[in-house]
Amino acid sequence: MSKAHSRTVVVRNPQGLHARPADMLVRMANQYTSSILISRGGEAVDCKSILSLLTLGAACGTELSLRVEGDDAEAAIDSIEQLFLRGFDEMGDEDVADNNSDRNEPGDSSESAESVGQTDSTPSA
Amino acid sequence: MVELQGIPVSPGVAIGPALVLDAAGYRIPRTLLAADEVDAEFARLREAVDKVSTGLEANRLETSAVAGEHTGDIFAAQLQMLHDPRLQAELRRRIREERQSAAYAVSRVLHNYAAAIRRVDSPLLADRADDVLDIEKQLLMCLGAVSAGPLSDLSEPVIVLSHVLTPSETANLDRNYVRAFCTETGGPGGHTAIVAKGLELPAVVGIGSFLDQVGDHCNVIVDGDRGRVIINPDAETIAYYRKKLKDRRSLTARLSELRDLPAETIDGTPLRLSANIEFPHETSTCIERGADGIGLYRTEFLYLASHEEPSEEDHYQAYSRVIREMEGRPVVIRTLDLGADKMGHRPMAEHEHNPFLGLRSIRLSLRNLDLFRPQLRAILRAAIHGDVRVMFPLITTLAEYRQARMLLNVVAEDLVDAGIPHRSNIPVGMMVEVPAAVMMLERFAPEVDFLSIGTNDLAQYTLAVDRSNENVADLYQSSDPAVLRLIARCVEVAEQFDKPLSICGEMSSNPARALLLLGMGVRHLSVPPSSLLRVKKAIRSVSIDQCIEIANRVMQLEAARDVDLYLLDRLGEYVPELIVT
Repeated sequence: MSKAHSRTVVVRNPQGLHARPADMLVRMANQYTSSILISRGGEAVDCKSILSLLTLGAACGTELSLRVEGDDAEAAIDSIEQLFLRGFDEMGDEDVADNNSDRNEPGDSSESAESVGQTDSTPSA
Repeated sequence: MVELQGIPVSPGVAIGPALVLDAAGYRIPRTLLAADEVDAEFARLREAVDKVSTGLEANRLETSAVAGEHTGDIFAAQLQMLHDPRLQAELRRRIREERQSAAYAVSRVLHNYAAAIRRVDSPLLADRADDVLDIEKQLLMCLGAVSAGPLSDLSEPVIVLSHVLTPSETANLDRNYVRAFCTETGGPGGHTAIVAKGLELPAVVGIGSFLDQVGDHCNVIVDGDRGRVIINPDAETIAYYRKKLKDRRSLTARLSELRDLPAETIDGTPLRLSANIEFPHETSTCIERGADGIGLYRTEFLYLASHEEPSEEDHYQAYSRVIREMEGRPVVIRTLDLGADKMGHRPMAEHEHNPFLGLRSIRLSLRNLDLFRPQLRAILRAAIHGDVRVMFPLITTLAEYRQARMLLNVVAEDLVDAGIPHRSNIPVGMMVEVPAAVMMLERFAPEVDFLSIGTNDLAQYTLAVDRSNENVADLYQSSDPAVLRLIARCVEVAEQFDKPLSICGEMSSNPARALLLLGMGVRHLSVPPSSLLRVKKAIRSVSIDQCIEIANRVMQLEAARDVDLYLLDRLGEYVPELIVT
């Protein structure tokens, strides 16, 4: 019997878990046969479904929990954790070297404070 | 010929070809498959997925070559979305088990994903919803389900049929071509209904599931007076409605002669008859129809009709236009009433289980001062152009009212300090929409300059009925005796403290109910521009004693239905011209 592995990871790349990192994450997950769930708060989604990953809305700094179950669970959880630690290769070299994940580009914070999401007044039926 | 019954929310009749929309504005009718069509339909979906996949792969290679691999990755992510195992499983389930057409399944499932992504709190991540909708569109084009653009490029008159229309979608309907609309969902007091009335578009909502019975270009009649929708009417029915249209036009012509006559009863009791508006351009209609002022200017449509969050300057420009055009007649501006079924551009309060009991209206404004302050500043600045009054919606407690009023004072001081032209000695009032406020009205009255009853919310909160829920819509009646008792109490308190009281809910736009309100002692009504002349006609046809008699009789009745039947009877006796058959 395989045992379930759990681990907490943090989104470190400034732009958060957007389409490209989510794509990398799914590709990585698909290399393993284990079932991989990733959750934010109480909401757990399938790590092999990019659409589900995007509904998590995991911005930079978000803590996510991984739960992996299957024959190759240990290898899977290690390589996925690595992806998060590397910031999905979207961080400047010094960010990785300093291991300073809290640092934001000066422009980032003001931009996200001012821009607002577009309306989605269309309820899903 | 198929006859459907829904809830009439905006009067009038229209005849024309159907335009069937899904929630996003694509033309996807909800079609179900026969058992033997399922395999072929599923194959069609597979083919469409392959085609879109090939296209995305080509885009990826091309873009990578031109703009670098990083940019090309956008299409890699879209490919990943297209082949998402959860998505594919759900599409398979809907087609194979629920027998939905591939186009309908695609549009529903991808829409749900897009909506879920749109709800996340990070704007950058929320915009990924566009990628999902992009895939939807490509699949729908491959399936041959999307012909041209949605509502934006109409070239001939249509009647819009849809599962749901949001207030902002309704507001953006092209009035040159859209003659009427009907929806499967919705209730009588929802904001979609109010917008429809504002646009004077005949509308029927809450019909229940019917779109699968209609194809594009079917002939459709919408009877907004009686809540009836007729698909493929026969010649006799068409002739009947053509005559009705003609009668209506001649009534409108006769009513327009009333515009310059005062709103007073036969015995000369003077009344104020004002108009409710949401858009600045409506002021011209109000003046044309002789309104005594604007009794309710709903400002949140500034938020709903545009894609940008309005600035203080946007507020100021809109208000100034209305105030100038009203040439000294009073303009009552209601501060932001966002939340519940009217959302702005930011996620205000997500996942509320009970939005109508949640963070909405004045509660939301007081918690988001960055939103509220620019509006208050704009109102005080615009006040130099005319007779402006401000009122706060959904006041429940004294503390809320005092807080809002204090904020107005603070904003006025800021304007003084900054040397910006403004006027701060404007009347400040409250809307009475919550039973708690009615119960405490003696305490509110000394602190306000005027009172305005919003019957839509007052009925909803008194009767414990969600006015946009079609399942309980029949319980939602502003003529319910319980609501009438609360109104009677407001009139009494207003008289005791000598404060002006008006009614600006949808209730007063019904000529029969307007007569009842006069009999109850109300002397100021504010109605949608489309109702101004009809209500004036009713007022000018009765004496105040007749109205008092009506009110006395109504207060003996026990149910909204009895009240409305009795009122219709009286209207038929005193103002038979207004009874539409």
